[in-house]
Amino acid sequence: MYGVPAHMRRENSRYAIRASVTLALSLVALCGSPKPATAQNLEALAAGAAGLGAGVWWTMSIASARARSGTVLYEIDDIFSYALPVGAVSFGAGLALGLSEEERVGETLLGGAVGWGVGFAVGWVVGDAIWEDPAGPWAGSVIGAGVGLLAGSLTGFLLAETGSVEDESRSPLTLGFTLPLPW
Amino acid sequence: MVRALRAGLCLALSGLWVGCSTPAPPQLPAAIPGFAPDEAGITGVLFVIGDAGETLGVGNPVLRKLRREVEEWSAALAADSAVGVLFVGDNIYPNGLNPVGHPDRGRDSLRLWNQFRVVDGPAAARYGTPAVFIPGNHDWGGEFGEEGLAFLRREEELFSIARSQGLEVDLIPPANDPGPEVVEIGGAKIVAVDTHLWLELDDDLRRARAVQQVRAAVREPRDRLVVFAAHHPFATGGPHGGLLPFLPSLGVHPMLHRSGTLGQDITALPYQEMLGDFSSAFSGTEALVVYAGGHEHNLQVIERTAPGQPNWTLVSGTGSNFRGVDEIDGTRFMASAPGYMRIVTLDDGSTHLEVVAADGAHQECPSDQYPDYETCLRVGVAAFEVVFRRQLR
Repeated sequence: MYGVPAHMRRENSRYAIRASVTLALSLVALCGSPKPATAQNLEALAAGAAGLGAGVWWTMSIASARARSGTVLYEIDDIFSYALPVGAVSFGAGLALGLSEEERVGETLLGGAVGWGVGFAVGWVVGDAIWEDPAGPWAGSVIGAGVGLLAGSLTGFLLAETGSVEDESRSPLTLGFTLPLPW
Repeated sequence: MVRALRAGLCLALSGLWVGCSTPAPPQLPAAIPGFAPDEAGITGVLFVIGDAGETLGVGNPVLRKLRREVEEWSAALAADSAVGVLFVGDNIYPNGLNPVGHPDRGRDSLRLWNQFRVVDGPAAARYGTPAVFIPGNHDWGGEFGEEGLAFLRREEELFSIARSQGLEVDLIPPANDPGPEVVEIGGAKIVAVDTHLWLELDDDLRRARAVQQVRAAVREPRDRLVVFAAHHPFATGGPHGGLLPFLPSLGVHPMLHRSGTLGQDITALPYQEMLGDFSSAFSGTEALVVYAGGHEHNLQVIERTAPGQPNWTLVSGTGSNFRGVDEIDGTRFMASAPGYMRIVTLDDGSTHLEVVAADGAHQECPSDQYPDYETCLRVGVAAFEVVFRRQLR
């Protein structure tokens, strides 16, 4: 019912941290081709932050869905083994979106927000109907909002109207960073 | 426009801060008179203390005070097992008893011996005053299955050693047994279960048998006191019951709690199923059922508010640490303070509960603050007083 033993959970967390950082950096490097300086504005950061937030929620959705199927988390710290890879991927995806498809950021965020809200409400009703315990509606909402967030974001991204905002006269801004990783 | 937006944001953040912050811990009430050991008509005294496995050095003021009380009451009642001590789990922090050769083995072992010493006085020895210990999740090393069982079996061996030295101490139920284990001490029938094991019981037959045995164990006539001893509480207004600040985790922790994702919290599905098992047993008895648990590091007295609940739920988990608590339905007393509870039975059939506690400053005696360790203990012991009293029946 509780699945993974504590020593393995600790090992998994360490592995997850390493994997997540690598994943996020790779994703940004692969998808985030540099745009002109004006394009690398707050939208990219906002998209990255929104992606991180979405990742945190999806993490909770996954953990909640697993708990409903019988594998609860032993303690709050165990969420990190899920949160880091999911959060890293979604942060990387958000940042990449902001850097390379900035004209789609608004619609993607709007779609995600609407999907989250609708999913939360529908999840509450469904959770209340299928689970008898007091946590049922909340679990339904957490899972439903996660599904809604994903569906809404994708829909917003795909339906977004794109136009050329390229201005070749401006030079790209290069961002560099160094992470002091201890391993 | 910008100013309005800024003001709105400021207001929203302030509201979030106020609305989502944890309420301040309740003040400890003023001392009130409690039962005296030489008072006539007392037939049994049961002390309830929990989560005492994180003591520093060779004990803390709570355990010293309890030892003194055990001596006084054992001498006064002068009858075999008329006084008893119930430790409701988490006897060794943080991860149970490590194996011989492990760097933490000495510390782990000392933490359990500090609790054994509560019944090592001359009066306790003379009248066979027992201390029974329930396993908690930390005694399982935070593990399940064989991995966790190894921790509990090692702890069980330490009990055998203590018994061979004449101490009346026992771990109930024994390792790998969900219970119930029944003992009669301190004027009460103790029905003990291992809730950490119960939470992972996926063998339907084993579970059904255990539920059946619990039903039979608590089925007693009206005049009997049944103390249902378990580590995980039946109800709580502490962190495992949802008292979680919003900001440190930006809402993640409260949301995981509410959705029943955390297995040690009362909202988790396995926890709810376990309470359902117990509830079905409590419904079928006329006895006074007092559910004594720990897990939360606070003191709570909660009265029954609905059928299927025990008559009283006690949370006594401040043997070595204390944290916040908030009021829930049925709360009659709550405190975030070091202490323990005592259940006193009288020959007129009445049962009384008293909460003994002290200011938080007297939880432990860190060596860096008190060069004179014994002075710290003595000052601490003197600070404990009865702060709540209630007739349970």
